[in-house]
Amino acid sequence: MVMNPSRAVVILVTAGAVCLPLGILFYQSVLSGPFFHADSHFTLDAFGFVLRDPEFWVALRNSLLVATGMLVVALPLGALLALLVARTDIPGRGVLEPLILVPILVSPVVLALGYVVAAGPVGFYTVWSKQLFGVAPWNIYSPVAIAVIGGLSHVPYVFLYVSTALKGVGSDVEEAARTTGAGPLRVALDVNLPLVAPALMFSAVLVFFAGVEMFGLALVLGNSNNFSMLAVYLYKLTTRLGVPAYHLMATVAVLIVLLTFPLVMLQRHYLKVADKFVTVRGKAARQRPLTLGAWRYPALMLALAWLAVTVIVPISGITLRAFVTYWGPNVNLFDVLTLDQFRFVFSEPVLVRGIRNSVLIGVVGGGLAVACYAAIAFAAHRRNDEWTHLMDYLILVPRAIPGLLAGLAFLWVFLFISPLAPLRATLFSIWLAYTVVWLPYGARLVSSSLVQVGKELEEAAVSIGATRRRAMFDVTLPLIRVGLLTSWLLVFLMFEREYSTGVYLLTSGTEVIGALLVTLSETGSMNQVAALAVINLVLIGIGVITAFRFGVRLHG
Amino acid sequence: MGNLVITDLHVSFGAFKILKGVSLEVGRGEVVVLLGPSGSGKTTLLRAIAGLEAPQLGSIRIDEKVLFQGDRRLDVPAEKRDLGLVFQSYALWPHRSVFDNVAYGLKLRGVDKLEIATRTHDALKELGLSGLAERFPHQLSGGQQQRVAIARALVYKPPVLLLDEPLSNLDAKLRDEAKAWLRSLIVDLQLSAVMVTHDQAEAMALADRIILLSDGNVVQEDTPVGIYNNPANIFSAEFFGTNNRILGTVVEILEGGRTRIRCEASDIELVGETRGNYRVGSAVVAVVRAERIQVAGAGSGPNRFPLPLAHSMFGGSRWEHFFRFGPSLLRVYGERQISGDDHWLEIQPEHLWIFDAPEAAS
Repeated sequence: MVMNPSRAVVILVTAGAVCLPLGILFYQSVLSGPFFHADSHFTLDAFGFVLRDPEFWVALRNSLLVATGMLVVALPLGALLALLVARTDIPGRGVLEPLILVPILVSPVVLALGYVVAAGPVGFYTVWSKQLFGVAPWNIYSPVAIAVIGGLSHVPYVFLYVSTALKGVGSDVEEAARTTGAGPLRVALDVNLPLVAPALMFSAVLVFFAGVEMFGLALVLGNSNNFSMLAVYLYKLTTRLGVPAYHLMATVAVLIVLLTFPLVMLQRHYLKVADKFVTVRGKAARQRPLTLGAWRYPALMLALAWLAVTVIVPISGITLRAFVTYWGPNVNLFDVLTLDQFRFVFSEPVLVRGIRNSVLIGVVGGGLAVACYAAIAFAAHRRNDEWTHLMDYLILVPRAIPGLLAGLAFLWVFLFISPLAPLRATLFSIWLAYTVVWLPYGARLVSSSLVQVGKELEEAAVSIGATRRRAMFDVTLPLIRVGLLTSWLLVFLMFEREYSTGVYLLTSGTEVIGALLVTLSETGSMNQVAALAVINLVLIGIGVITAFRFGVRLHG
Repeated sequence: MGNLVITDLHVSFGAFKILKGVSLEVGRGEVVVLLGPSGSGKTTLLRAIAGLEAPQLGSIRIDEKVLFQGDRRLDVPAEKRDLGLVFQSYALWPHRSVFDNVAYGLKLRGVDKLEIATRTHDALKELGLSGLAERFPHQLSGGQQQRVAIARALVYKPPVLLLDEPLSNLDAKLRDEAKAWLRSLIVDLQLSAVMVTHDQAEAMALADRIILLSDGNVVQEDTPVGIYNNPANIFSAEFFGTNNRILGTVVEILEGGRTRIRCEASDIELVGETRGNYRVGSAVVAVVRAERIQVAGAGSGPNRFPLPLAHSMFGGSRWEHFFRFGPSLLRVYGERQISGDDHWLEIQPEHLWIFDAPEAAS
């Protein structure tokens, strides 16, 4: 069969956008110098250098330790919250669910900066705690704190997957165990736990992965102790060596991908296991919530305590910091309140451009990205040939590439391919990198609304004489309009939240708030940083409010 | 196998009354089918027996063991009732193999490993699942899943087996086979069973006794033959079979439990069984099954009348004829194809049941 030309273009462009950056990382990692230098030759020296660098091993060890620590914190807490909200009569179930998901929407770098100004050595809550109790028994710059904060902020992911799995367990399989002679505890252990196990394992891998690729939190909180993790090691390589060492950066990037790729495959495996359990589920019977009795309010307190530490402390901190000129012990809050920081931000051309670019990349870029995701989803829609299988894997690949690495790789793509060079300093470079980084997420959003369109609706159009293309435009596309709008909103939120992908692409003309926060946080001007972070939160807030008005569920 | 006794059971969800005082008895080795339209409370009754719904009033006993007693606030939890329940959705545990699904009940009862293996394999063999022990539920067909669900509920020899719409998830052809198979299984193993269904054919094929429920009450209980041939009220009469409803008024109450009515649709007078408390002049509804109207040779007589043939449908084992009867149609099953216009029809008085018109009855 001759392939439809537009489908061929979509497959080719997707393959290029996914494979080129990855290819260039691998290519550069086996050269002796920058790929654009004529005298660079093939060598494995860069691997030798990195693997002999003790700091690399420290960073690797730290990454694995922090990832494990995050797992220990996030998994039990996320699973417990999921159980409480999905299956018990905890007060305020309906409100708790969206609240628990909030940290997913906040950029980790904003969260990290929030912790610095709220709970750092002279943070708001530290100072207040010392005034009230005489002590503030925490140190957010310690490695343990980084792991705990990382763990707490990833609780929503565990919550999301486990609660979905819990809701999927029909009452009938539980009741079958009851009538067979199992008490409530046995039912939980013998039926619920094994059925939720794939979701637990899936989210465990996800949290561990997030620990391995952690950048923003480690950079901001680990800075003062020189605490290094893999992404931070990569980021600081240039500063350490004094010159940009392309081959070394590429080597570190390749080593990171070698670590993350098996994790992505592992996630894929658990997703398949979970699917197998879903397909055999009987008619969905209504679920009755477990009664907590006297434990209702302690359970609510637990959820609220987590919310306070993970959401309220950092966000209130960064917001308050944006409205005061300075802060420290013996400062009266009301003496230092000001709007000067915002006036400054809006008078600084670079920052104004950053805000404008952020809005553009979210609204217009998000819309264009969804259009691309839709084209990709359609190319795989209702076809089960080898090209569709290829697309499945192509879509999966960017998941293994952390944003920081993707930004670096795209920077090189724009340098390497001369026709693309003029676009290097335009928002297009940022948009392309963002779109590819979020491809796995976006493509799944679109295809999940596509699969809801009944096959026979398209077949009906074809049977009365429409071509497949006509049927797609006249039947399928109008039916998934709402799904596409939802995807646009969710992609907008993710693009506003994104920070690491823009770091290496940051230059005059490509400023976005996320990347600006990373670079400005290093120069230490907390006044602008806080104001910019609050503006970022406001953009995300507008997105969330719009989403709620349209009745969009924040988890697709 | 045990003797299940339920007395005056009340179940309500909030202000909504589902069961309004149901009493029934299931003897040893007896199969009782709870039959009724959706919303009649049959599934709730079954779940209440299993301990999955909490009644407010009444009692449930098996032999000497009290499972529920409202006035003593006694409610044995589902896992302590030792009953076998087969779910409509089968509710097989997707993470356990067929063997482990079936063996689970024995494991919970602390049976030793060797005996679990023999008893589980015996149960699988009994249900024709011998080769499938290591399979997982998603690798089985619908019919096989159903057999596993039954094996799982039978393996620990519960005193009463409870089945919730056991055939409804099978497709039509498979359902017919499963019906015959289930009946022979029940007879062979001499099971006491309570089964819920909304399908009258299924109920009549499988039951020793049918309990017909409507709106939370028992409407009638009898053997399948009894309830089909001798319905106590219009609800029972119209629930089974293919029926004709003839509206009329009472002309005369006769000796021997007979009544003469004048049909509303035409001026015909018919004699039928008295099944209501009406007087001369009352509005009544007469019900007659489609197979109880005979297409007879020409000639008048008692309960004979000519009607014009509207059309006929061929149904394989029989013909279905439609006669114009005033503004409506009269449906008649026959063995032969007929043609032409007018035909004489005859209804034996014992097959024409005359009830109070529902408005008047309520």
